[in-house]
Amino acid sequence: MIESTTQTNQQSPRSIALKKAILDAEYSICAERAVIWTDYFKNKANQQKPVDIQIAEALARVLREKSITIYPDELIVGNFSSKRIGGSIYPELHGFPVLLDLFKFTTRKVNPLKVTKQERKQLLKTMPFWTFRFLGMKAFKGIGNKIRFLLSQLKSTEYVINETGGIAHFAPDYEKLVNYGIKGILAEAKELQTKHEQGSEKWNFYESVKIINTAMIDFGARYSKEALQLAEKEQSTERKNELITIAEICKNVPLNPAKNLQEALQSIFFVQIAINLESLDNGISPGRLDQILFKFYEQGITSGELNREKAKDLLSAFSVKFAELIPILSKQITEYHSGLMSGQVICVGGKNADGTDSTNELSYILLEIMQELGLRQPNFHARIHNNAPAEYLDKIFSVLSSGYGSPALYNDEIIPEALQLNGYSPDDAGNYTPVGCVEPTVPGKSFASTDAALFNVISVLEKAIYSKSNFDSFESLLSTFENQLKLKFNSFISDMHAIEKANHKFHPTPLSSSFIEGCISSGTCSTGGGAIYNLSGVQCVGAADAGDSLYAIKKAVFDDKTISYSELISELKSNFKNDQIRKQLVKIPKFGNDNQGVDEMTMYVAGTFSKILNEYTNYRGGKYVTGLYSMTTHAYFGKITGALPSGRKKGVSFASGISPTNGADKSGPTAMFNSLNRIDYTKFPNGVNLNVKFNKQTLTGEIGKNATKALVKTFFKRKGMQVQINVLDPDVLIKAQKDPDSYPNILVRVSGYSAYFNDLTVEVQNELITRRKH
Amino acid sequence: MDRPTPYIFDIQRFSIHDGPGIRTVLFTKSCPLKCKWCQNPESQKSKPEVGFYFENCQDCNKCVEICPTNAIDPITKISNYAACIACGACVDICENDARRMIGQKMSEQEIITELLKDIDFYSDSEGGITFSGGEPFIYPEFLGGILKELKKQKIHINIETCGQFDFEKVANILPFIDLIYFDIKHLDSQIHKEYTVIANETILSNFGKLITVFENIQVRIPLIPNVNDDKEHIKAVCDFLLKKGHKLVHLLPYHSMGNSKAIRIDYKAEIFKVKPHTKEELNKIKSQFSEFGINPITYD
Repeated sequence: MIESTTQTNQQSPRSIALKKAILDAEYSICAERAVIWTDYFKNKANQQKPVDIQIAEALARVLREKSITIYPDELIVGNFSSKRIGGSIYPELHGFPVLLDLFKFTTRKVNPLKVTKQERKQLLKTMPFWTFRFLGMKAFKGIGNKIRFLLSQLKSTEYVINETGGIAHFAPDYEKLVNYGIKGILAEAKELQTKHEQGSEKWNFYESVKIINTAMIDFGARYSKEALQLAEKEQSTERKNELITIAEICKNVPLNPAKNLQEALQSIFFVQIAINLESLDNGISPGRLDQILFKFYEQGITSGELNREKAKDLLSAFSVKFAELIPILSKQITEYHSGLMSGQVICVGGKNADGTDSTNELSYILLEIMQELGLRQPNFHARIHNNAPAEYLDKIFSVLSSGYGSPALYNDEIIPEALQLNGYSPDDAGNYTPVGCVEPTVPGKSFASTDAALFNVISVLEKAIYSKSNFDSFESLLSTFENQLKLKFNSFISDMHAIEKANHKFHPTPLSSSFIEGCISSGTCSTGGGAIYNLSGVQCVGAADAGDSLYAIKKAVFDDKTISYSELISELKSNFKNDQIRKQLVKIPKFGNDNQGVDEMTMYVAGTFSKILNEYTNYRGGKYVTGLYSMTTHAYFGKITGALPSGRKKGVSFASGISPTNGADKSGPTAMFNSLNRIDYTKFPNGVNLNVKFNKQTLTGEIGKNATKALVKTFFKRKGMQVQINVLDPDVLIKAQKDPDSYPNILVRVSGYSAYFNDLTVEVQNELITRRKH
Repeated sequence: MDRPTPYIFDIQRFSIHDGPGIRTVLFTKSCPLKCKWCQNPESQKSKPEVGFYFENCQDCNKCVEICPTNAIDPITKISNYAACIACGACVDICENDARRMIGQKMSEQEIITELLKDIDFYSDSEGGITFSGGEPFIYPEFLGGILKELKKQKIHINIETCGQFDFEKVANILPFIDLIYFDIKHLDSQIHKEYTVIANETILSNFGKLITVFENIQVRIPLIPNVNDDKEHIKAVCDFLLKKGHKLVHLLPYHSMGNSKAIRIDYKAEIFKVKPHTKEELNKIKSQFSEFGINPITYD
């Protein structure tokens, strides 16, 4: 170990200043990408080109023409958009529907976004071109089918297909980037291209890789020039020198291998920006930065060029930049994904392939940064295993007790196993990093479209319940449910295939492909199955509500016979006219209370979902796998769903992720964890999200910290998969809801990501206020 | 063997303030003391009783009508303890969760099953099981049976006692116990009786006997303003402890939570009202303990 990990550093003035600039910035829409993209595609000559070339050239133009800014105090430069905090419009993807909201963005209640008059005008002008040309339209044949799909997504009741906005959610091979530079990728593509006939599909793919990577080099050079210009005008010698260094660095990277920590971070950030501009789907994750960057840290310390403080300042200046990106979503899609989350994961710690511990000084520095920044992004995660150092765990729980909900915790004792069961090699599985919200993937090798879709399992359960006026037995109801699920999956998968194919056909991703092993060697785009691993993740939303409902039917109708089936149906339809029946149903045990009977029902629902889904293969040749996290769709689907046999009334939010339904875990956290340990997590390789709330008093102080640490230790020893811990003071949240302006920066953990309380829909806010706390 | 068994009024999991680590606390009913400031007034009586959650009551009177012994006051809806046979009819009929049974019989096996549910958490947190009450030591045979089973799993056991028990019987089960929280309320027997209903001779003599045979005792004093917080009494406590060779005391500052619980079982309950100590007062009390040679520990 190079320096003591117990060293406590104060947050640097630079870090404080950069954080403040972020907290003070407005959320805005940037028109640049949409305008340039539209301009490129309107050009008749461009329309004749192969699609790979089109995307590469369009993105290259964005990188060459977009405005660039270097903000005060920055050490790592590069701007996602023309705004300090901003997002782009991807008209070819979410296109027309999002543009329809142009007049609503500034005034809408949830996640209002600023858009200047001029930019609104520019964006309006792009609209007509994309009306029938965006991906959701192109994916389906026949106007009826197009409209059916569009409506099903705009007012989704059964499933939300996120791939309509492109495919991303992966951890690019940043290790390759910092070690070989863009130069390395270009050389590889050039050499392989010669083996193919000009104009062939593979030749075109290599051409697109060349075009976009060449643009990456120019992108760096633009910042180099900008930094030099700023340096000339700069009064302070100190800042002048910083700018000159930045100028030199941006000349060298991303073109060349990084020579030091700052170059590595800068190189990564340039690519991070560009990949985010390629597709809308988010979740572009740097992943295990403590592992990728440690050699640069070590070299710098040894050579004397770097010290711990300086390294931390660099990493802090780098991390802060991730909060500058927000996704621009329509009002409707915001219901599914509120909180403006862009899913950029940075992960620390974990086990090496040989079973030894991998934490290093950078893991600790990044943990300190999580605590100091407390920003919405990046999405910070920590890997834990049975032999994780006590010091590391101690630090994690100290950071958690400060109340920002970061890092979320991941279990090395189960996740690699789950990945191996789904085709990953042991070495690759051991190198996993979560991406997006909570989804484990392998950096540089997976194109696992982990956020492909979210599926409302309750919609199928309702179909089963209402399909007959009575059932002979509980088993017969279950088999009806399974049949309905298979039936629904058939049409769902067919929609998925159409969208996945459309992504390949109309929106290939040559830049993403450059950073995923397998794509360049095979000459196949990531959207076409070029990656080593090609899974797609579908989230089962509402499993706990479905389990609670099935168990209530089993107990009340079939075992105890206190309610007849027809009586139950009429009560559900009337949203419990008879409150006594509802109370009776509410009293039946619920998931999360260490009651085996009901816990098994939730396992049955999620397990059945996983088993049936697993039988399908996606367009890219990988398996569909199940995840148990819900973004904010549990609130949305709940809002549009009628009363349920669990006693849940119409419109009430479903349970989030794999957490018990709101307020149902009345027996405390140990009982809840016992219930959650009944789940076999290898069935959910796409990741799960367990959101646990603690009262501030519980977690503060040594006693509370140790108790929480022990809870997680037991949960993980018994092969729990993931947990995130919110430390909340409900009184403060209630005040914040009433008077948002006085409480602007309350960071909370939602479905696997952090968001500011004020950025959430009322339903999700209420969930945070009322969800049972321990 | 037929042993006297207590009614259980709560089993609290994930308790982190009743001994080390994560613990499950078993609360038994019945206590020989009736402290005026009692935090668990529903634990004092030995039989089950019905708690009334008036905020949920919709005044439907169904409980009054169904009560076989007419024990429920038609206006206040509070059960008369003497007349109530704790049959639970009113609890079952109440649709609004306004009536809850306090105290239920559980078999030894049921209790053990419940207590073992969190065994994994005990071992990972170095926690265990705490028996509280009421007064658990008035059921030594019952405790012995359960503790023997729990000890097979090497679980850390803590007992919270008021000190009023039959020492000879409790001595038999001491080998199964790892820690005892021993409460001392007042050293003046007369005052003790005034506030707790009984004199303190047995308690003090039990402490003297216990400390010679049992190592891990934690002395706890509920600090009650104007009852046992004066310097003279503090000195008496310190002298007593020092004489017994004990140098540490845990101070439990008074708070008024017990009051709100008391009126759920007896609306005529005499409300004990004193102003909780301020931080400054607590610091002063602590320094007095230190001055007299005892190391005081307080909790926030």
